[in-house]
Amino acid sequence: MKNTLRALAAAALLALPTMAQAQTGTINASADIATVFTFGTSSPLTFGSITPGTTASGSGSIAFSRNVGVIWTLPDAATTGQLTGPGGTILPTYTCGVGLTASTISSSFSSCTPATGTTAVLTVAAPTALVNEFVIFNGSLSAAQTNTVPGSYTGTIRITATQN
Amino acid sequence: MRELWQRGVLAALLLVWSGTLAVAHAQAASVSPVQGLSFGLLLPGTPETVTVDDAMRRGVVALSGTGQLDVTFVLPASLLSREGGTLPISFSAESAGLLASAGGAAAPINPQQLLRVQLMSDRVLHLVLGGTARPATTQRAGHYSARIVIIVSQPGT
Repeated sequence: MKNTLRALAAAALLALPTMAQAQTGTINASADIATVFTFGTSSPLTFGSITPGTTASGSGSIAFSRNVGVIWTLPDAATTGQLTGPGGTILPTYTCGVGLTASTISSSFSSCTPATGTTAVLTVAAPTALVNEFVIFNGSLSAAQTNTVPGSYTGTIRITATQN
Repeated sequence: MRELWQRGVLAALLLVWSGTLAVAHAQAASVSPVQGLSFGLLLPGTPETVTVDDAMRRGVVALSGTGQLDVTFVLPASLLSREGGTLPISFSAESAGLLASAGGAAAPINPQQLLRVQLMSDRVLHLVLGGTARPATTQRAGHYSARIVIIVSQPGT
């Protein structure tokens, strides 16, 4: 009998429940930051009024904002930035690339007149924050190129940005 | 004499045990997640507030059971992305509400203060939570998240 009582008492003490404990529930909080990938205002490249047989230069740019990586291509390939006018076509010599200001190229394209329109002329990884940059084309005309039929010569520089 | 004393002790133990069990059963409550707090698609530099009336985006937890409960929110100061970015979020005195299961508008509560609620066995109470996300103008694109913890306990524990 004594052993039975001891066993019961021990079981009661061991099984004595603790006070109800705190409970927790969790929910998730979330947000998605949108991709920014857009061209902005352009500044045209103009060589101005040229005296035939003299050299000329000009610079143009277009703004671009992104918070993801980018692959740059020039879809017109070898004829990128070609001018057409009364005397036929003229292809200026270009330097091109991107920069944080409209006046200075910090990362050059591998070519301003690539062999194909799908050749990546510059590939940039995703930035850690929003980037506002400029695609810049600096063009020059030689004296021989300007020694041609007078008139207005115009063209278009096409640039493609693809999310990387 | 000794045996009588032992029986008395055992009886007292059993009485306390059954009484505690009865009290614990009466105050049994559960907290269940229903919906996360979702700020949605945001633009860098543009803050976004989710109100307690925004049924699609507010966070919701359900409280059921009986008795009084103390409720505490553990709120994060920011959401995090896998790339290590942080998106600041904040909560005001009107960022939370108490919603009876019968519907109607949420009674405003301050999620930064301890809340005491009375649960009835015949209804479920819903806690709803909003907040404000403040992405920087230079905020990196991507998915950001964090956990919100709701702690419920009996008063005095």
